[in-house]
Amino acid sequence: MTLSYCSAMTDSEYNKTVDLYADGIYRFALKHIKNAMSAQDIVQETYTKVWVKHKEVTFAKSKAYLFTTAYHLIIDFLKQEARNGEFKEQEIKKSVKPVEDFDLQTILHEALDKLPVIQKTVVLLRDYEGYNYAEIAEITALNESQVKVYIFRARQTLKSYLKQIDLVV
Amino acid sequence: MANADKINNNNFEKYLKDFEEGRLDEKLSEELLCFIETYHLFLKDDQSEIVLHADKKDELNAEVKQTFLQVNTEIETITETNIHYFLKSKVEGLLDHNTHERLEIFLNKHQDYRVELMLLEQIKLAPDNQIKFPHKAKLKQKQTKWLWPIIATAACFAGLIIFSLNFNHESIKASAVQHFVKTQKDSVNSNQRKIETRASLPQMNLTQTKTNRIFQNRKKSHPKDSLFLMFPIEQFVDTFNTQEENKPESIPLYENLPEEVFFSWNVIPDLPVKPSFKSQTLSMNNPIHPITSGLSYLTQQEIDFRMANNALEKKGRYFLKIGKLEILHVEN
Repeated sequence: MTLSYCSAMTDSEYNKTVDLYADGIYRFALKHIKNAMSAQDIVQETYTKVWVKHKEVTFAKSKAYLFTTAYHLIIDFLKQEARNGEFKEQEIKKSVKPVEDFDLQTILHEALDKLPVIQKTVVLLRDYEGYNYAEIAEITALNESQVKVYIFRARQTLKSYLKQIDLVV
Repeated sequence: MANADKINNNNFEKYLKDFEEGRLDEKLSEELLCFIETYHLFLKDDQSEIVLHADKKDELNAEVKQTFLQVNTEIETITETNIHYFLKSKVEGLLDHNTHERLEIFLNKHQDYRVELMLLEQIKLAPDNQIKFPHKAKLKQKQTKWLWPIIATAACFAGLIIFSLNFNHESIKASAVQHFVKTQKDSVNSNQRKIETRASLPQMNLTQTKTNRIFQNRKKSHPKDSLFLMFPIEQFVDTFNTQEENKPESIPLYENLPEEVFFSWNVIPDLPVKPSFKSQTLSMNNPIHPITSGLSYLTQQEIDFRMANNALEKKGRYFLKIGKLEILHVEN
């Protein structure tokens, strides 16, 4: 208890987390929500919650804490939007693009939108932030095996999407 | 584990439900994962509820079940049945060195799966670094709290320095008691001198004074010149000096006062038995030596601050010197 108090985040360390992770959390939220204003609100609310708890969170654990908070806020937002029937309308039903517009990352991000939320989350945390399975499990409150399965399934879906549009090497 | 407890076509849904709810241990989770991967089962996520969608569910017959059990017992063997599991594990960096080598051998024999591997390796999302959060400054906390103690301390020091420069008088160097006693003594002496001077005034030659000569050289006399003529300053000063020289040395009144009186004022007067500051400060430390040195250099005034060492049983003592102002505090 004393140790955690001693290593609590200082004001300058909190500001450092803003510089280091705000962009990542914003991208993470934007990929789920597809709305810049709502994603910005998610980031602001995330940092507000972390600031309230900054005396209890160490700087070393701040990144995981930030992404965990953001993830829960995103899930709450999506549930609320699903109840309101708005998120369904915002979903983009993109058709297969012609090969002339081929850009692998663009196609992959299109395919990412077709994944379920949990699969999208674990893939984003894995590829964007480079988290290992244990860290993703901590953020998403799953166990490592579940994370592994979700990532495998997501990769399988992405691969099928690429095959579908005939982009095989 | 007995074969009856293994995951198979008949019981995998039960295991799957436990898995989704996080009740399955790691070993069984791995086994379930292997089962799913082996038979290309796909879990379809339907919002909050996850249900099993098996394209080849109907094909899971007793023969396949037997094959699966064989795979389970020989999980390390790479076959065309479980190659997808190993390919994904390779992409995720989960294979050890031996397994990796065996996979390479397998891929050399089956080049079609190498294409599959290349495709899987491309399925890595790269973050779009051009997307940045636009309001970082709003998220940050202002860090100005630490300035106030520094400003307050600097203001205190500045006040002390200004005080020492503007009131650098002899009476401040002495104690309040000494000042009081000296004032009383001067008052008595002054009155006595006035009386004696007035008594000697009629015997003076007013016309021969220097003051008179000065006023005589003026072109126009001032109305107040007559007043100066009545008080010959030169004679007055000479008379005063003569009396001072012939006067027997008087004993200071404050010599008879007890020492506690002076210490209760927390200042040190010019007593006959004056405490030595040097002897007091030798065993005392200056905890803010860089600050006092800097201030001394800037103001060209001697500034020193000493605190007693607790180990020397002089707790509560401190000594402050700013220019000619010296204060020594002694508890009890």
